[in-house]
Amino acid sequence: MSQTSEDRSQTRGNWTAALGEAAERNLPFSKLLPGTQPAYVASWIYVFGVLTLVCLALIIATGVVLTIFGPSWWHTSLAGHYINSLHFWSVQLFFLFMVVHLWGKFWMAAWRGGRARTWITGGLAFVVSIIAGLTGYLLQTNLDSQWIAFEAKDGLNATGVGAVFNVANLGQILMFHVFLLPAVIAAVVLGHVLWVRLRGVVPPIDAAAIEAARSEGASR
Amino acid sequence: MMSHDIPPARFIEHSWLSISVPNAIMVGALIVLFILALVLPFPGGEGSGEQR
Repeated sequence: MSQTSEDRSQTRGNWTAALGEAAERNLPFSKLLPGTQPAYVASWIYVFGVLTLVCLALIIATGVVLTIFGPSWWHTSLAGHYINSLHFWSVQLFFLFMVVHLWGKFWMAAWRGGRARTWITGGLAFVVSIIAGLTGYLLQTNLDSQWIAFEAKDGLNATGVGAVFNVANLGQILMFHVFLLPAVIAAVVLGHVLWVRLRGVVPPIDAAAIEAARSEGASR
Repeated sequence: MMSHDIPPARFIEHSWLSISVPNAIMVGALIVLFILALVLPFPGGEGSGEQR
């Protein structure tokens, strides 16, 4: 949408209007929810990002159920065991898909074309997810979680984070796992996906050569 | 009552490398999955230009 200098002067200093205009300009719905994708996206290697997102949705959904009913339910009832297992296996698949997604993006140098922020938020999501995974293991409230806590505490204390992240403090770890870390992951992943939509899906390194060869072949 | 007497995993030891068999299987499975994702044809992936 074209903007006159009068329009711009009216929105100067008005951050909500400026943000709305920037979003409208850079992320129209045709970019946010595209109906088509470039030809090179038709490859299995491009599927792993969205598979990771599906697993994250499952982790959040099952996590909400576990939060509502609590440890006595997930340790003793059949339904509790089932939802607990779904939560656990969603996490296993989440990391599995995320690692293949990371490898795929690393080898196609996915930070090209102004995509550095996409790459950084992806790396950040990976690191925060590992911490969230550790806190999840600590919340099993069984012998395993006690063993993991007391194996981890010395290493973590050696880095100096023990004062604010004490793996032997069940209450603190619970709050990290069900609120703080999911909030950080949600924000980082939202930024990651928005930057993917803003810059578009990264093309393979030889995409230009392939497209040129195809169009040359088609014109003959 | 759950049993906690799960035997420890076997380890592959070679020079500096020390990895449990379950972890080695997972790393191998990830590499196989990665290679398959690169080489297997994607359904409806033929042709050029924009597509749904």
